Formats: sequence, C-alpha cells, structure tokens
Amino acid sequence: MIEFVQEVKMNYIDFLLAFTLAPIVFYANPKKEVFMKKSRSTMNVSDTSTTLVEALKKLPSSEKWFKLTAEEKAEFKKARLAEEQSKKAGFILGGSLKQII
Amino acid sequence: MPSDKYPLLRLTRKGHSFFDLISEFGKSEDSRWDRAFHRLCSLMRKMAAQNVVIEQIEDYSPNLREEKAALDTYYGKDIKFEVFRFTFLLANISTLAAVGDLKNRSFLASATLINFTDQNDRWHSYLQEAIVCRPQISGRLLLNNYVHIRNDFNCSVNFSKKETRSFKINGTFFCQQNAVTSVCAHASLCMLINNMNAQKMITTEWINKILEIDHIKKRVSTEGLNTEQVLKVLKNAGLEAEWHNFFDHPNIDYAQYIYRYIEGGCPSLLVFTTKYADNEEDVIEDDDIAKIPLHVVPVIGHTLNSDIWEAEAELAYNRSVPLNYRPASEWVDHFIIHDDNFGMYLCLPVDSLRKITLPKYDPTLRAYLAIVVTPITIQTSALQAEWAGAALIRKLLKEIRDDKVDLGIWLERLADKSIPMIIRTMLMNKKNYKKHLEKEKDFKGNCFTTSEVSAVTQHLPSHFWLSEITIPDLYTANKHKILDFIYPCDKPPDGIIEKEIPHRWIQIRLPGVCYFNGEPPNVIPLTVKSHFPLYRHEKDSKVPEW
Repeated sequence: MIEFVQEVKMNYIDFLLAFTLAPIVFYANPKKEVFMKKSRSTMNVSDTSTTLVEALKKLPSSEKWFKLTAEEKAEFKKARLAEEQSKKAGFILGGSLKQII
Repeated sequence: MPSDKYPLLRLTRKGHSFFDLISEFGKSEDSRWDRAFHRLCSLMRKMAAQNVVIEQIEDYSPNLREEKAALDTYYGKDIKFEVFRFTFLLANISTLAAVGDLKNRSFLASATLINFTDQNDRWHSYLQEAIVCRPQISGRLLLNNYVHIRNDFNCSVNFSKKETRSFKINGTFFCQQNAVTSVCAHASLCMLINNMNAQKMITTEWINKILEIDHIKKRVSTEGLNTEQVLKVLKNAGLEAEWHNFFDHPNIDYAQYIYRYIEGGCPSLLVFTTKYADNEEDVIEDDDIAKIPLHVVPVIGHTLNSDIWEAEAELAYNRSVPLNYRPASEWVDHFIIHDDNFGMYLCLPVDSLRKITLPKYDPTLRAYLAIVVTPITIQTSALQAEWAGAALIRKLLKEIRDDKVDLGIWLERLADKSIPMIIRTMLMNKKNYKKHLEKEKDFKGNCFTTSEVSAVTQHLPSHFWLSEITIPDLYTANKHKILDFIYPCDKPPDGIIEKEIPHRWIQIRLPGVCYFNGEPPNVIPLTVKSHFPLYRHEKDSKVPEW
C-alpha cells in the first residue's frame, strides 16, 4: 500500500514537473528514473536520504528498540548453540582409496 | 636407462585417443587409480588441447626424491619408480622447438604421473601433481562458475634435452593419494593449502614429517588423520581452522555453512560418508558412526544458478522462516571440488549430500563434517552474524518506518515483508572492502567520494563479517545489494542474545547514509543512494554471468 501511494505520489510530481518546469527533459527521455535524477539536481527537490539521515540521528541506541520475538530468540539460540558445541567435538578425516572404492 | 625418445610431442586433438595415452603411460593393473587422469584428459578434450609434450623425468626434484624415499622406506627396498610429465597445449604446433615461443595462455595443464612398484613388484600409478588452468572454452571462462581458491603457478617444460620453457598457469593444484604413504586427507590438505599459497607449496611428505610419520615406526593410518593432526598441519602452514559436525548437529545446513566461508575466499575440507556396509537396513548406534568410511575433498568454489525456482518459491509455498530471509547460498547449485579419486574441477550438487532425515536413519552419502580454513581465529560464527543482520535490519526498518520516515524506494522494498530478504554473508578484510567501495558505482552511476570511503572504513577491524542484504530480483538480475551490515568476527558468545547483538554490530551502510553503532549512534550522509554491486574478488571479474 505504501509503495503504491509512493508510486502515485512520484507519478504526480513527475507529471507536474514535466509539464510546467522541464518539458524538454521529459520529452527527450520519458523514463521516470532518468527524469527524476535530472529534475532533482536542478529543482532542489528534497532528497529522501536527508530524511533518513535525520531519522537515524534521532533514533536511540539499538539496545532500546532491538527486541526479538520468542520464536526468533529460540531459533537463534538453537543455531548458535549447535555451532558452538560442534567446535568442541573431534573428528577423524578420510580413509584410504582402498577403503572407499 | 635414460630414453632418447623423450621429450616427445603427441597430438591430442580429435582423432587422437586419450584412452591410449593413459594406458600407455599408467602402469597400474588396478583400474581404480586412473579416474583422475581420465578427468584431466576429459578437461583437456573439452578445452580443445591440440598437443601434449611428454617428458620422462629422471633428474628428480627434491619433492620427487622425498616421495621415492618414503615409498622405499615403507617397502624396505629400492622400489621401481618412474615419473612422466605431461604438458598440455592449446596451441597447434608441429615441432617441439615451437614450445619455446608459446605464450602463457597456450599452456593448459602440467601434470606429473608416478608409477611405482610395491613389495610384490606390482605396479601402482597416481597423479602426484597437476596444475590445471580454469575450465574455459577458447579463452572464455564458464558461465557462473566461480573458482575462488586458485593461484598463479610457476611451471616448466623441457622441450629438448637442453632447453626449458618456464610458464605460468592461472588455475589450481591437484594431487592424488598413493594409498601407501598418503591418504585422501593428505591429498586434500595439500590441495587446499597449495591453492591458497602457491609461493610455499607443501607436499604429502611435508605433512608426514610434521606428524612424525616415518613409515617405519609410525605409518599412515588407513583410518586417516584425526583432529589434532589436521589442526597441527594447518597451524604449521600458518592457518586457522573452524569446523562443524553435521552428524552431531544436523540442523545446521552444510551448504550454507560452507558457502559463507568460500564466498569470502576461505576454502573448506568437506568430509562425507560413503557406503555403510554393516546392517545397512538398521538404525545405526552412536558407536557405529566411527565405522562409516569417510572421504574428504577440498571445496574451492561454487556455481550459481540465478534462475533457481526453489529459493523463493519454496518459501512462499511451503516454509515459514523466522525473519523471512534466505541466505544467498540458496542460489548455489554446486560446489566446485577436487576429488583425489575422480579429478579436478568437479561440480558437486549441493543436494547430493543433503538429507532431511536424521543421520542415524540414513547415514550413507551425506555431509559429515566441514573444516573451513581461515586467515584468523574466528570467535563469532557466520551464522550468528547473518542472523544478527536479518534481525537488526528488520527491527531498524520497522522502527524508522513507524516514525513515518520516507525510507526511499529501495529500503521500502526491503521492508516489504512479502518479499524475502536475501543475505550474502562472508568473511571480509578491511583492505578489500575499502577497494570494493572505491571501485564500484551504484545503479545510477554514483560512486563514493574519497572522504566517504575513508569515513565508512576507518573504524573497521582488520577482519569482520560482511552481510550484503538485498531482495531476490536485485540479487539474481543485477547482482546488486541494498545495504551492508557489518558484524565482528572475534567476539565469543556471552550468553544474552538480545544484549549481544545491539552491543556488537559495527555499522550499516544504507542507500545514502552510513549508520555507526555507538553511544550515541553516529550517522553520515553518502553519495551512493541506489543499489550497489555485490562484493567480488578482484580475480573473479572475468567470469561470465547470467
């Protein structure tokens, strides 16, 4: 849904910019991504990553928001335990050609 | 007596039999020995070898002298010992003199065959070493065929009694056990170590000396080498090892385990069970596991099938996986191995050693153990790093999305729970990661500035786990990633997972921003805002991809 809304929003902005501010770019290359890149650099449209930078800056340290579900915790523990215990076990490697084939 | 007929030039193009070549020079009466030589010849046929230069080596190198001395000691007599060297050529030449003018790319392989007699004067044969270039057709490497562990090997050929041509082969080292002074574990260790470091090649006798196997008081056990012996050999070669037993802990998938290391340039020794002869119908008891014959092969690379159905569809149709992620190994269809019994550059289908039953119910032909060789001691497992990445990124995206932040199109797509997250985890060193950021451009052609690369890499440890996180379409079509998650590899587990992960993660490079862990976390904006190429070994850049 969010993606859909975003697509609609993008198309709407593209449409407005194309017919008001940058018709030559639009007609020369109707591909949305190329058009958006050019229009951003010339029209100073706010950049998504700036918002992301700000959001991450505001975010408290991960200890505050990192919570695993019981299922995730169990899966993680099981896998980690298996790997740790395995290193403690010994092995004997490979036999002779005659023994195998 | 030295023979005047060598060196000789023999045609090997179509119409000239490799079968005849093998039977002419291999003296063993036991037909099991020659599978590796047949495989070498099959590769030469596929690569369109035109000629082979055959030499009889009479002036033994120190390695050959040691090999003969070991066999003499074992049998307590001066055994008969013959050595032939085969240099396979791509070039179509008609005289031996032309060998001197050939370019490096004309040399496909250099292989040494040994024939020796036992105490009853019966002949045995084996490929003592073979340097073979990567499989290719007219100079073009095979599609999606990644031989990560390989090297430049210095080789030579005597094309007259007095003239020698030195040349380089970019490929791999292969050797075969002789089943007397060496077993498959020796061969596999030699293949693994020599392909990692071609400057300081080891031999089976080097291994025997380290293990104090003198062939009189202490002989090579038919059971093979044990944990301490393997680790001792690796330590003497300056390497560290990490292993997993898939019989004791079958819930760890062997292919995922190996892939996470091989992609970062760490080879593995893969041990698998062979036919369990006694009471095959019965469930085996714990004590019986020791009786199952094992075989070991080095894993030197992998193939990739980007059209695989199972990776995504199985998740949707069948399984529910916590955190809805798939390791990139799901698109790996074969491991590239050298099997000393069957030859070089063989493709082992990952499913062939994978079983869904418990080992005791079906012990035959399944992965038993993987020993991965690493440049440093690993304290934090790759699986832990990958899990931490999956969990932390899911939670992070949820956290900032809840704040109504515009994530940008690629993070929005990554956050979409109907699409699985793909994670490609590998052991990485700081130098290679820095180079990777410096040389690549994102989908839109943006690259990192020098100061950005410096900021992103300056606080990294020398080695770490890099988890490249993406979505299926970007992974299979573009071979691109959305973000890099970096986790330490040198921290032992401390018990509480929920505390461990938020404390340990190092940094996340997202589109347009790098987020560093700390109190408080640090954030810097980046020029690269679109999806970015996956990390590649520099030497893999010429592999054609689909």
